[in-house]
Amino acid sequence: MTAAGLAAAGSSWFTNRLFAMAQEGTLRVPRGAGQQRWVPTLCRLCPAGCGIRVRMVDGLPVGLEGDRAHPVSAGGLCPAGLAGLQELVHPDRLRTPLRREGPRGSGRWTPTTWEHALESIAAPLRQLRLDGHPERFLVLERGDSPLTRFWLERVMRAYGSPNLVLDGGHEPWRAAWTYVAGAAHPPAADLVHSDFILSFGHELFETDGHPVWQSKVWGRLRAPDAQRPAVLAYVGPRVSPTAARADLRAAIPPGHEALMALGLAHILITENLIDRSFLERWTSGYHEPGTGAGISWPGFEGFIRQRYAPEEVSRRTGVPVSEIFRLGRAFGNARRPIAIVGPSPLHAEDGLAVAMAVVALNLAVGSVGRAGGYVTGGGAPFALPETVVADEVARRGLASPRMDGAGSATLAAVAQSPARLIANLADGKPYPAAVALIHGTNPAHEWAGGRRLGQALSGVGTVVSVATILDESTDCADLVLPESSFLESWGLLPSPSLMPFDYAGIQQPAVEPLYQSRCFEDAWFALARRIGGPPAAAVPAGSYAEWLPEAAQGLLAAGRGTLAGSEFQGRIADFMESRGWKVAGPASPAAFWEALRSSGAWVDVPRAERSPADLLGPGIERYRFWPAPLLAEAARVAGSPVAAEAIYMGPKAAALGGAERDDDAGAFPMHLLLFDTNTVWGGRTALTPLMLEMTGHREDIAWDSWLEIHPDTARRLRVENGDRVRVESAAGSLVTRARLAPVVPPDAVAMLRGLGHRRFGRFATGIGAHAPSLVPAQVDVWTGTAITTTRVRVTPAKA
Amino acid sequence: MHRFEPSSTQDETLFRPIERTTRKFYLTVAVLVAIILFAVIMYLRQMMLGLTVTGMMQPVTWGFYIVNFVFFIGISHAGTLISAILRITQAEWRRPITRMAEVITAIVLAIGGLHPIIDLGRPDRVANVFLYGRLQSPLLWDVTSISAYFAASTVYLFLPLIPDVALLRERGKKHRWLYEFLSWGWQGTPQQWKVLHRAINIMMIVVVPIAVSVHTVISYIFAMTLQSGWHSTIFGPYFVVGAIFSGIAALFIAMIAFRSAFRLQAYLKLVHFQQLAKLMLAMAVLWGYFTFCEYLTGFYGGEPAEMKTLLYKVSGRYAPLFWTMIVCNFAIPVALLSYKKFRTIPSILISSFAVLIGMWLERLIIVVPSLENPRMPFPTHIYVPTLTEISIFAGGLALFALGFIVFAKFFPIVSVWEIQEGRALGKAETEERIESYLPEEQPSHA
Amino acid sequence: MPRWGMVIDLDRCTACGACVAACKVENNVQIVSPEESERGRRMHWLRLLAEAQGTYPNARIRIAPNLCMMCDNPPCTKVCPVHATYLGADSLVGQIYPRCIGCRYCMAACPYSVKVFNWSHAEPPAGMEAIQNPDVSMRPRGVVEKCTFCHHRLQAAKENARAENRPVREADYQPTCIHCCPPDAMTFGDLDDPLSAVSQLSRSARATQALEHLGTEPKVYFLERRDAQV
Repeated sequence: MTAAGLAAAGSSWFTNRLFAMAQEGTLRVPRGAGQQRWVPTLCRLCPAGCGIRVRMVDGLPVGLEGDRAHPVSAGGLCPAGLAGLQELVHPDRLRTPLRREGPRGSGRWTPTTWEHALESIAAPLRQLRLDGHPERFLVLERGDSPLTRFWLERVMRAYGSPNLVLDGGHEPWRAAWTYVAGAAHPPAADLVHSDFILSFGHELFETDGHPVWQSKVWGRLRAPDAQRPAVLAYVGPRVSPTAARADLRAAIPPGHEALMALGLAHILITENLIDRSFLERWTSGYHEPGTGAGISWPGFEGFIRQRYAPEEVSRRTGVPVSEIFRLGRAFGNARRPIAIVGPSPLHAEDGLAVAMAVVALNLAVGSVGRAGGYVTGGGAPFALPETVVADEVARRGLASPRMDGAGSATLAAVAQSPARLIANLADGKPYPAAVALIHGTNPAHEWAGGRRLGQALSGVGTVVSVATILDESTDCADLVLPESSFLESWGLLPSPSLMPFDYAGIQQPAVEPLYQSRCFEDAWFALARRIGGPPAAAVPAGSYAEWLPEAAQGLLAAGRGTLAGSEFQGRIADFMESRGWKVAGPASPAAFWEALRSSGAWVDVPRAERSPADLLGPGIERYRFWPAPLLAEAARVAGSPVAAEAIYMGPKAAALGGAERDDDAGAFPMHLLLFDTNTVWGGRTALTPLMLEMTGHREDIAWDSWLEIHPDTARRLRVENGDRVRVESAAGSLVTRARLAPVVPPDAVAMLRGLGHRRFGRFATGIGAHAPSLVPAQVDVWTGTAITTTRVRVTPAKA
Repeated sequence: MHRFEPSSTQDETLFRPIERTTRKFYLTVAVLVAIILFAVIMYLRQMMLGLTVTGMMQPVTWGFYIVNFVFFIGISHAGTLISAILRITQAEWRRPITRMAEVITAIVLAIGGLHPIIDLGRPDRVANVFLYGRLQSPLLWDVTSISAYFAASTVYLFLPLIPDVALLRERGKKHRWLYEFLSWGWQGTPQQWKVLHRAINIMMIVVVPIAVSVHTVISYIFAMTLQSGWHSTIFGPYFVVGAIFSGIAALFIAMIAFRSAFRLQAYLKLVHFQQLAKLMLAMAVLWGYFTFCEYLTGFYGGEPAEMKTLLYKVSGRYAPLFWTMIVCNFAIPVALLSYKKFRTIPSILISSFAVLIGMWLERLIIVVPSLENPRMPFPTHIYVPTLTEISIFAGGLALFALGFIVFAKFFPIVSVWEIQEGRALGKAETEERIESYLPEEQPSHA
Repeated sequence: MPRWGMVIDLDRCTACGACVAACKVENNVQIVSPEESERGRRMHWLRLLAEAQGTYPNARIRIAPNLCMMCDNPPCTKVCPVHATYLGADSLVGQIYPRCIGCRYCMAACPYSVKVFNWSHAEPPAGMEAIQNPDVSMRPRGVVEKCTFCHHRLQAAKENARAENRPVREADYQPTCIHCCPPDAMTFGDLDDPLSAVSQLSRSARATQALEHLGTEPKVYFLERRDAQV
């Protein structure tokens, strides 16, 4: 090549690059006529199911925003939801069913067909029933969607397995209400009518409950023209964004929520701020001591007076006495106070005690069964098929104890104990599993001890994962079924039971499935049909999308509620109904379904006066401070008699006579606090590049995890902001970056959950460090929940 | 009154570098060209990849390129300004220095003027400055002012060059065609001399306000914003003083370099250095005074945003650089140049390097710390220059040196005809001037 | 013509970041690579800036949105050499991407640090080209960009109003951040209309502007937090 030739080639390469530079910034997507339509649907990235509208232009989804007309979220949406379209078009989404090639975990897959995949699952399942062991079918599911759960339970019941393990629940809270009130479901917090919200580690505005709805309520409670804006108080060790926003804060060491709650009860009692009439009429065990199930208990009032004086509480928590008084008085003087508790304190040791203490605090101020307090949770009157009748084989299977020990190794009221599942699977106790199906959850990444899932499943013959993308849990599977994105699927979401009103939101696809994926429900129906026999009879003949309009008929038949519309329409309808008029709506089922589709939701706000009787279960007349069934169960589970006080203090503290437990600092001097952000949501939404970039957007940290550390502690360890640190616990270690901030106590560090994926698409894999690795697999004895607190040691890590 | 004719046969020393090319010349040129080529490649790479190849980021959106822009333009001041002022005041010791000074200006203005373009995100859109230019913007003032200065200084370099080019043409040794062309038919007639002197006189006066405006206007780029540490009324004169200061230092280095390379000890004598050194000492003191005013005012007022930036410079992350700057710009020159005994060429060389380093640091300390301390609680990052920025800086310095060396290869680096004029007319003119200062002869009462 | 302004109620703001995400999605703001991100080149038109004062447990943490204040006396437009950023007749400070030469003077002049620069050319993440908003132009490398109060939505509102032969009303136009804020902390509208919510809130006792003393006359107001009455 001559020099001239080289020069010419070089210059044309250069010129081409220059032209390319000039063409940057043009949208290279083919444009059509610009026809636009909006599809109202729901975001399903978390259990809240906020209403969204997807903007379609020329058949392409180009925008996503909150749906203003939605009765719950009213246009609000969290960051993860706003990035929803990125999940739809993620380049690593599963396109076909996959079959494992090579050993489990090798990451080698070949595409296969749905028929082949479903047959590979159905065949062993049929065999199991023939062998008389249907209970060996295990399903691991998130449990976000009540209708999905309905169909799962229905088929599992027809099939004969009790092992539907859901990991999204908060069992200590549910169990506490079950025992105290006999309620089957935990009640809803009527925050919108409250004037004082006391949060025990409940991250109202981040990831707990329904953050968008809670934020909407907050916006109304703190409107600029509100005469007496509601007050938010936060009790917890970490200054989370919710705590930063709170008006009052009590910074307690980790694990002292129950102590603080009962300390506040003491203030209420001594300052005479309790709701006497409520306690007299609706509770038992407040004044007088008693006996039941062979255990005697003190009167609640006496119990508190004796042990929870403010000086004692202050000594053990470090909160000044004056602040305890201030908080207690403010809570007690409010007209409609309510105390709520988040998942984090419930996942510490003695989670049940925390739940019981917060319930008791609410009872003390009578915030049960009235506006602004705890009220019946909502649902939706869907038209559901009759309960399926289990045949002989199924009945025997259903009678087996659950694989996760819920109800047998735990208190009877506990329905789910996923924390114990992995250990049980590994031991083959109480019996081995033969077929496992995982959907909607990523236990290998999200559960403490999840890294051992693969090993635990090694004895299981067939493992199936239904997922949108390959992740750590699919690594443990033999078959992977591609699940459609929520933007490609149909659904109906009834009010998560923490809403104080009835509601049904409709989820409808914005696009046809891009690949060969199916929505989970259709895959489940197809599997049930293939198994044949009772499971096949239990599912509808057609698809899930075809069944949904039938379910929705229940809403029309209920004769109440309205379809979502503009706020004006809603108020007019409200006004007229309150005067006894019936607002004319769609008459025929078909018209109703169409109207539901275009409006996006159905809602019915109860008009009847609330009453404390609402929450009491059948045969229960009063809220029990000392539920005898709970005491009996506690003794059974512990295997020995248990003091009654243990249900408020935790078994160990009660055994020590109420003294402080010996906190063994030793090699690991710092408490580790785990938290979630509303960007990566514990890992689920770390899929999208936008959320990975926004992981720590308030902290100026992107694409990385971080450890929050007190500046004085950091100085002592010679760690500066941004330095990499090694965090070690008895269970594992990791390296991440330090963030110095006055948001944690000097003897604690906090780290976010959700990153450190080893397999989760090209954007998330390898980003950040995996915080749950630091937590040993510990299970709370009574409630079977995972204990997520642990102690660690922090040292600087050389780059 | 110009009864003087320059001769092309005297002062061989001044013509020798043009007519004899040593191996050292080729070697030096090769090294400089290599550095410049590397800088050009790094710049092309920057054009391909975008400004991401630099160390700039949010909030530090200006870095080396702007620092060097101000630095190079600053150096340009000594050139024309010194040469003009020395001509105006008729200081005889200016004669061997003026040519070098004028050359510095012309070359370094071009290099400095390139830097904002190197800094642009879209250099392909430079024409927009002319198509859509807004005269309300200090950057447009810059464009105007630097263009005017470049035009003026080029003319001011060229005019006194004409007689020397004519001498070279007479010698007829090399490049005759070039000298024929550039001498513009200069014959040295009294009429031509009269015109030339008048032109030079006009230029030497015109160039002064233009030169002052250039660096004032550069300072306005910073002073006209609301950034803490930038919004200061003293910036105009401060920058001009600093520019003259750094320019003299650069001039010294050029003088010392050429003196040793071309063996010009007979022409650039110690006294010339000492005289110029007095000027540099004056600038050092003046610079120190302005700096003191600037920081005392900020500190005394205690306004939070200002204090944050000020403390960041004086006792924070930039403290080592800040105090180095004070030592280099003030302590060293004052210590070394105050006493006549210490005013030797080695000490002047040390002072000049110190001043150049110190003045470069001053530009850095003005540009970057203010940006690293935004008013809002914006998460800040530390600016660290990359290889691209450093190599382009090196390329700029190399281009400067190369320009000088190439000029000296074709034209006398000391103004031959002015030396000869000084020899012929200097004493007489000076005596006449001093006569006019002395008191009038009183008429005797006889 | 309306004078568009915004009031952000810090008493209601929960610092959830929905506005930050919505803005990025709506305006096709680039997501830069992790390496670029680490070097401080992240691009946000709207950010949450956090300021912590004091020590644990009594640290006061103030987190407030930071976006273009749409000043009526903008320091950035004064210094632009090519009229690429300008205060338009519709009261919005605009940015002309094809004209910007990338000198970044406006970035140095803005006291709120709201302008963002395209340090390199970044394509949307793999697979995500199709979901870019067709109403908003993609910016090439080397130009400055910033919040435009979702000017494309104003354009759409103007077109609709023109089609219906009426002036643009306040309710026709709303930037996306206002729309998605869960606690409804952001209000938007015509500051010159004495009856509008935004105008009344901007005159409330709690209303402040960022860096008021600089005289930039920002059209974004903040309502400071209220103290609990306990």
